[in-house]
Amino acid sequence: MKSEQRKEIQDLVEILTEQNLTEIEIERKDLRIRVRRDVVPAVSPPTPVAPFSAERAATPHLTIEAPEIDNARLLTVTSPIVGTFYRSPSPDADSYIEENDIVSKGQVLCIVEAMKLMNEIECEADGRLVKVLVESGAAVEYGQPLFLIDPITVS
Amino acid sequence: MTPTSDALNTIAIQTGLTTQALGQSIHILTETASTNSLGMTLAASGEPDGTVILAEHQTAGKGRLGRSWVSPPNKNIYCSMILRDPRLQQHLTWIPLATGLALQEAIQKTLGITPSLKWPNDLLIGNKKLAGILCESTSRGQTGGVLIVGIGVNVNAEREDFPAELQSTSTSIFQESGHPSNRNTLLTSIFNYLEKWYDQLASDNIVAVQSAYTAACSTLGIDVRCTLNEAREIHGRATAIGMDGSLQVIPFEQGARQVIEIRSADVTHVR
Repeated sequence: MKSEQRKEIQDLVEILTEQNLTEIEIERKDLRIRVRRDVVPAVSPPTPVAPFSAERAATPHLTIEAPEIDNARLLTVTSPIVGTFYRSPSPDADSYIEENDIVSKGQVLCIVEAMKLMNEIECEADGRLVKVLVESGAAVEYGQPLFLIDPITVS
Repeated sequence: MTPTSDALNTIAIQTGLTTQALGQSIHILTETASTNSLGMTLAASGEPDGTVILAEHQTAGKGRLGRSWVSPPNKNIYCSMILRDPRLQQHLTWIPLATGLALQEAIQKTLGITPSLKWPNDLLIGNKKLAGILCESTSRGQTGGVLIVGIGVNVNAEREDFPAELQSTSTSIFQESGHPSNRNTLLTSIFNYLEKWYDQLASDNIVAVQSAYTAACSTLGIDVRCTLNEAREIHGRATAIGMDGSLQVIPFEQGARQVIEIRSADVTHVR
């Protein structure tokens, strides 16, 4: 498995636990990933001693801990110009992106318009959109934070 | 007289071209959805700075915020340019204004018609639209991306070439002058003037652009209605051009003394 796929799966696992879901499936043209977990009761009964330790070793228990979002790690996307912030290409169109969406480097996040120049702001890294900081149609200043992205770090 | 067909032609356009980059590479298409969209695609595939995309017809010509640009075939100019000079990135907001200025100059010098330049860059004759400009760019972090400048000029279109609802608000050089004009010659002139003003921006000579634009812009000194969005409209007097190309307006609202800088709006000349 490629390391970026591994990271993508880990990210899905994070979303799964954060949102307290049991299953997520994403599909692209060349890839389908399904992540599932069994929700265990908060108080587990005492685990009986396993009679077959060999079999137990073959099915290792996967511990998933709910991750804390490390704010220092988050990437802030800022406005390169003073202008008007739009989340969609036209008033009737869907937003380019919603919170919690997975984003990839180069993906368009929004438009900032000034003097009829439509400036598409692209994402700088692969990751997940944690927060949209500005309302569509609002005026933004130079350098004003627009989005928080939780980047996927490739180790 | 009916306008004659003057097919777009690379050699004809490049004859008389004095530019370093603009128009040195030209793609001419019979038809495309939008020259700006194609420009973005070609830019992504590595086409060089100054590459020009021309089409005889657009099936989905674009305007601001998803609006359309009506593009009757074989008569007008539908042109997009790929700009990659990194020095332009810090003056991005001046590009639309400099483009309008150059377009006005080219039409005036080549055809003897002087359209008015409405902020930021519509060219009008009376209250009718002769030409429009749509700039699109991409930015990623601190690195500038690509810049596409799209211009549409109504050259030889007759009144009937426009849909009925646009006939009272649009015009063409043919309708104003009564005779057809050569699109290739006009394009040569447009590229020459555009590069002159883009060079000024690239060499940080903003004052030169600002002062030429201020002299040319018909929006200044008159009453305007600026529609910012469905909920907000400002009615006031346009007084000056700001340091980033914004339109400075003093509102007529009671008690309002402060200048408002307009950057995204539909501006209507009231008087």
